[in-house]
Amino acid sequence: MSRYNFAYLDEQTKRMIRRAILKAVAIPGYQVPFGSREMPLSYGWGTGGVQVTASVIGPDDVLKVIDQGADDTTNAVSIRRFFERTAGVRTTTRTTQATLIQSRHRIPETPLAPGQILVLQVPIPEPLRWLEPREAETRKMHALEEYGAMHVRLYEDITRHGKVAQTYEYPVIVDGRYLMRPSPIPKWDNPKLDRNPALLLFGAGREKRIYAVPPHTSVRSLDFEDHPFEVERWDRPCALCGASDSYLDEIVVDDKGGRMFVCSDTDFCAQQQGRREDGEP
Amino acid sequence: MSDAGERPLLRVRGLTRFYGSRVGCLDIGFDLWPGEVLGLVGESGSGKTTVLDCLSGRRAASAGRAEYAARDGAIVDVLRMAEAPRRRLLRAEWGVVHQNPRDGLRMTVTAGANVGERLMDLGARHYGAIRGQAIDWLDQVEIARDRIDDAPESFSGGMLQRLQIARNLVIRPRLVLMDEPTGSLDVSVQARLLDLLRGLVAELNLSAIVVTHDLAVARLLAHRLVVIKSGEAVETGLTDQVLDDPQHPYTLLLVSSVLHP
Amino acid sequence: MSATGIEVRAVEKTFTLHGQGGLRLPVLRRVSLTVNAAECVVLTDPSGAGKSTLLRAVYGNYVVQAGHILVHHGDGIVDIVGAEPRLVLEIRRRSVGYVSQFLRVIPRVPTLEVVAEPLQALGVSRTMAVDRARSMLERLRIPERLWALSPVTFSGGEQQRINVARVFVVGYPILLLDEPTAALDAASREVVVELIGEARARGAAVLGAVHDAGVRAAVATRTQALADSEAT
Repeated sequence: MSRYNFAYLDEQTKRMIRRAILKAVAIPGYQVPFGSREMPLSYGWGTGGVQVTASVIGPDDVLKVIDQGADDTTNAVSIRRFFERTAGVRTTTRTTQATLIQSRHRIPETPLAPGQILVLQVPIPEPLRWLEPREAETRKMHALEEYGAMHVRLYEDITRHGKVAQTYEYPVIVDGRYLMRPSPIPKWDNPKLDRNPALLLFGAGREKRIYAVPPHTSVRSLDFEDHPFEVERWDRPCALCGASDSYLDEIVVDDKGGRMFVCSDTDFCAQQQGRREDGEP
Repeated sequence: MSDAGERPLLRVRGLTRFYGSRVGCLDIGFDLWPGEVLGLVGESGSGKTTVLDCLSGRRAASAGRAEYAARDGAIVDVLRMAEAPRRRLLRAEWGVVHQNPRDGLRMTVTAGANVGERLMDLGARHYGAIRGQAIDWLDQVEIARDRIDDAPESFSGGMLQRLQIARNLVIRPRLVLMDEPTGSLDVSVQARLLDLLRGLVAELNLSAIVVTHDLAVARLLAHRLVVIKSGEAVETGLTDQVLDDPQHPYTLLLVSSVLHP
Repeated sequence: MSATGIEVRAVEKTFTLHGQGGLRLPVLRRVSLTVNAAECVVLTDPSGAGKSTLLRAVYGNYVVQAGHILVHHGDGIVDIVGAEPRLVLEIRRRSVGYVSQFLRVIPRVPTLEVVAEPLQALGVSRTMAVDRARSMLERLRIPERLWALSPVTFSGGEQQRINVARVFVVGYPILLLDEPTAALDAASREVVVELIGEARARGAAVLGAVHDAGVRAAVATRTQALADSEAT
């Protein structure tokens, strides 16, 4: 074991972050300020997510880390190794075997179960920042539930593009009250937020905010009655596993414009391929 | 106008605001009836804008009451309300027209969005219906329909002010506060705007409090006037009476100082 | 006072010239007079004696320092002196019409609208209001080509006829007329005389200031001088 405290952070810091998390869980979708610490990775690389994970992880946890759905990209590998070194926990690529999942920009395709925790990395937590640069004002808007401006944004999109142009980080209303920015997950993942049996935690290190969606909480994507919220569609299944109910990445394979579509969630894809080999549907 | 058995829409008593030891406004009182336009006139710095600011919540009053008869029948003292319910009430039932229309508009979103925002604030969620109402209101304020998707940055001063008016009236407020609504406009543009305001006030049975230093605007728009000097009301009465037969020396000074071309 | 009418009781009006050191000018000194239904009382004083002042006081446009001005309004009687501004506006809408010496013009409002507006304010349908406005304008010989224009650029005589039209298009039970024919030619004067006669015939009480002897003779049922109406 290394010379670091368990999971790198000192115990006082963990208590402070846990208090923030408790408050966030008590007020679904509300951004709780916290004393974000200097971490051994740059801002923009998941310092918030790492601090949340470090505060909730215990020696018996099984940790999975993904980045854009994949367990094997640089970011995911680095963070997983970080916790292997500082916490000595078991790690896994299997969603079903993890107790704690830290993710950048995706929610796993495999449905989560009660007792699991998903930690999402958030760059900009404030959904109204595009409209109002002043923190004092956005806090007031949240306190007074003045969200008309967000619908203005959607209105403008429909006016300019015929539909809402936002395809990721699509704004939602949590528990019928707070407007929330669900981190840069694709629209495809928004429905998974709604009444998820797992605990969803969101950490923004640079902006120093934590928020949460407790299990079984309603999360509704903003839309208009005559322009309802819709997820993405592909005209073909995953080229590797044949799934047609998963978010597909487009991969360029040659210089002639050849491309293939494969599941972004590598674990899900691998499981599907396994099942196909076993003759399951 | 309505029969005498009715309640005033707004009853202001003892409205006072100090800036340190300086008087902003002192012991201002008046009733505002449904369908009535009240003009607050006086020179710059007289305190008339302070009265408006206290009513709209932009500034806190030092003392006084402002009892408003809400749409649901409740009588609320808007000066004593907590901020959240007061902001909600104002969004749903009042309008505020600023002297500089840029203060009352979102300059970077389309005209249609500017008009529709108040509706969306109140829960409107049908894009087609919102857009339809926005078009109706652009018609009402004489802005060409094909400007609905233009950002107001390209609009003239008069158009901006008319857009601000549309943005406020779309929710059919019962009371509109206006601060020098024609202040920054050229004369012919002013005339057009005043004409529009007159028409809308009559058509929608609006109540309004109009702050102006321009007596011609007051004569055109207001049924009654309150003349304010150094924060205090020195005279009040029917507009034509106050302007044609001023009783207070200050009112006489104002009236006789107006240039006639 | 009869069923419609005006009763002025001991009205005093003094102008204070604040700009000239508070110089006080009494204009109406305890004036009393009565106008009954179907009467046309014409004030005969020379200029400056307070005829316009009295008319304006009855209309609620001028403030008086003492006395009472009782007018019939609906089924009751109201004292204009000290009346709530809203009530005065209501009285002006329904009961008292006032032809002032000058037409106050609002830019951009077309002549037809100017004349139709008082009817619409009373709840008359737009079609009927416009119809009656047209008839009245025709009667007062305002050419149709001017109806869509604002009176801003019209001659004094045209403006005065529009002023008359605007008041007579409504059947007010009480009429206050301040030199209604001053700038008019003979033919137009005739029309105004007719209109006054018709008003009286339907029971209106008319109080006016008219200096033209011919018109006065044609319309007055009684003449009165303010000087004689003043108590000592």
